[in-house]
Amino acid sequence: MSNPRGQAIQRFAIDAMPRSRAFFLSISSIVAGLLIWQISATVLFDSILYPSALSTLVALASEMTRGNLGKDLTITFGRVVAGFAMGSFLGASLGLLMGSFRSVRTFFSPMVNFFRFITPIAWVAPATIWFGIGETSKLFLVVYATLFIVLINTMTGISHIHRDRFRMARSFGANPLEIFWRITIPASVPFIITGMRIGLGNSFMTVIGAEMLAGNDGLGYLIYSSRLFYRSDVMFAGIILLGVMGFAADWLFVLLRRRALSRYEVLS
Amino acid sequence: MPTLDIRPAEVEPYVSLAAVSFQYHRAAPILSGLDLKLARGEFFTLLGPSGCGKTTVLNLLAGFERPTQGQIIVAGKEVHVPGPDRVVIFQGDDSLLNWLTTLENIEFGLRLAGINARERRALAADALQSVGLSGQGDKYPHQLSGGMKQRVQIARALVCQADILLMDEPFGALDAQTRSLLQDELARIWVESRRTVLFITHDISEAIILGDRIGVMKAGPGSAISEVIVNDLSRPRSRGTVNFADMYSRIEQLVSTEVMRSMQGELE
Amino acid sequence: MTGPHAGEADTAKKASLTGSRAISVVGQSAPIGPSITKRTLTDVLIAVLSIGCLFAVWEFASRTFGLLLLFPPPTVTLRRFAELMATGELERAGLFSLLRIFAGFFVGSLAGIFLGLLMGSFVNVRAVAEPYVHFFRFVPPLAWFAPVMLWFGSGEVARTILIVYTTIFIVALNAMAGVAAVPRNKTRMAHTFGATDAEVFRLITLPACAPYIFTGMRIALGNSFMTIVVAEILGARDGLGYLINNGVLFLDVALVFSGIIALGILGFLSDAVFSLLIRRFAGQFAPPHSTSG
Repeated sequence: MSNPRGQAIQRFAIDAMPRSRAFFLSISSIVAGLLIWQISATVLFDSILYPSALSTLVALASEMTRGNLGKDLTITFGRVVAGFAMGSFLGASLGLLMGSFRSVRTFFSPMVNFFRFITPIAWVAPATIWFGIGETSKLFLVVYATLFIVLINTMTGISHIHRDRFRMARSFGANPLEIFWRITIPASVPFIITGMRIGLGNSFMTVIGAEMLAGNDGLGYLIYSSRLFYRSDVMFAGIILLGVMGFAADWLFVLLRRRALSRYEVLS
Repeated sequence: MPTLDIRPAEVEPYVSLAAVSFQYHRAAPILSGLDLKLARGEFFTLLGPSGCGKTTVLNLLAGFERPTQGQIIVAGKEVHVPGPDRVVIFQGDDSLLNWLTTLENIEFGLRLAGINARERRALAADALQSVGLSGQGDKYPHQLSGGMKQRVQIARALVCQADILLMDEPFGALDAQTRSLLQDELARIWVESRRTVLFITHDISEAIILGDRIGVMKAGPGSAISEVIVNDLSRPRSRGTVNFADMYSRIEQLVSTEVMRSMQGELE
Repeated sequence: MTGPHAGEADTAKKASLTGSRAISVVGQSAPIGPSITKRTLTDVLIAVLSIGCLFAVWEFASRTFGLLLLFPPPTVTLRRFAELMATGELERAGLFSLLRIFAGFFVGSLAGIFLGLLMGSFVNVRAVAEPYVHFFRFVPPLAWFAPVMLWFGSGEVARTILIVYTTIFIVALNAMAGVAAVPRNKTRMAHTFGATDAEVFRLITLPACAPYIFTGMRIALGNSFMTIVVAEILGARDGLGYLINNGVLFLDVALVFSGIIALGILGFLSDAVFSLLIRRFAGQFAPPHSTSG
């Protein structure tokens, strides 16, 4: 059977390309993209509907300096952070309790399994009816969006804790509370963090949706309402800002995770 | 007194590594000026402390890496790329395709060679039987034990009738009993098929049970083969004999000198 | 599976097979003998108790605080739900929403798989596409609703585009991660047997990535539900979002709740059916475990 087909091994591995070249390619790609955007906007399409890269940049600069964009950015970001923090804390706490104590888990499971499939956006309408257009309804929504995903990940994490760790603690005479505090919580940290990272993304999505549907400030509202005034350049400026903010938030999160939590064997 | 390798000059080596050096880009050399010659149909075991580069020797021979210096010649032709004339049995089980059944895994090489389904299945079934796994053909890898999975790899290698088998510590992750069993079985299979084998191990008794010649590697970095010992114990070999014990202690002395050197190297 | 970790591995597997719903409790392997039945019975009892509690509290709160209109009790809600089911209005709305999701999901998944596999396999492609993927990843689909609506009106095209957008990035990123995660020995093994690059891709890379792709698709499906509701609220004349919006306009919270419940049921069913189909037709490619609801 020996019929060697000796093919050259194509090196597709990422380490086969020097980082400088990859970086260069990425940068060129961005520049090319911007150029295509600019050219297509000025030459092809109606400038009112399709802003050029330049006009977007101009709008970005002017709206930031004139204050509106900056304010909306802060408002949106604040909502995300507040809701995310609270939702993560609640989700992690409940998840830890549910994962550790059978009766708690059985009690809350039906509710969790029901609500986790109802998207937070669905609650925008009721939340607005109950809490009005202001901060409370947005907070409620973001907490909801974060809570379940963090909870589920926490519980998954607990189920992955190696049995021997508990046995070790018990053989040293630890009581259930000590086990919970010294084994369960630290061992769940990687999973809680993974859940939080996903929850961060969910929070952004929820806030924008809420601001578009039932808000009068924030980036989502700005983006949506710009449509009415045919200010597509402001619209795009807002979108870019949103992307940058999301990216920065995630990047910060990863940074914090690496710095502060590297000893908890965080999964990437 | 260890027996140095003195092969008759008339016998053309089937496999030859000549003055092979290997290092990754700008890293410490792993191999330096390594010479190794294998005759056709011999079972060569390569022993050494961890980190001495024995797996690298196998990778070079397999064609997964190219030597930085030196030549690798098999059956008169230089080796550049992997090929079915040099089948590899990997350490661990992640070369098995977990979405295929045992039989499908065994016939993988045949499938690539274009052999029709019926013939493939027959050949694979034969190989399955010869490694003692009849009846496990429709199971998936995750349903098999570690020892069984290694046997599947052996069957996969045998079914292609490759001239050379490269085995990278295949039994390293198994428990002692399974290891002994598989060593004896491999010895039996080899006696029937008489392929040329390069077998990497860190287990001295394994090397003695299996190998016609046993190469002991120096400690890294820049490793090469320190000594080659001819093993003239008659097959089938058993572990309890006096001759076995003699050879064991001879080799052990050699190996521990190298282990000491490698440990000292680590401290420095 | 045998060995000391069988209990854990099995429970983790259980978690994945039931769509991560049945999460095992800490470090306990299955009890033996008649205590299983007793345990299950107690579990069922507590579960019923908890749902009962929830409903009771809900009913009590809404009646006592006089919020019958704003916060209808379960009895009112369920009755409304039944009415809507009877007239077929709920089913129709659900169907419209589902169809929209599936159209976009299908297209987006294909595109995402294609993009992700390309990015994972070719460094050039990855270097070129990466800045865009990383940027768009953080722009929620809803943010694009305004521009898309401006360009395409409030028609079906706009909504489908949104779902495609939602799906494509998550699937692409997962597919890319899948390619990177293919164990090197599998590829090497194939090379040993003389496989060409195309064969390696078809026989090794693609099957090995399948679990990652399916995980990405599953997440994307969930996110699509989020997106479609807003998209419908903002511009459709049918679908569950439209129904919910109507409820808001007429302060018919029972209608809103019914819509939400229907949405939840649909989301749950879609997820379950998706997992089931994967396990049924591509069982050996099923993801090992899911951590993202």
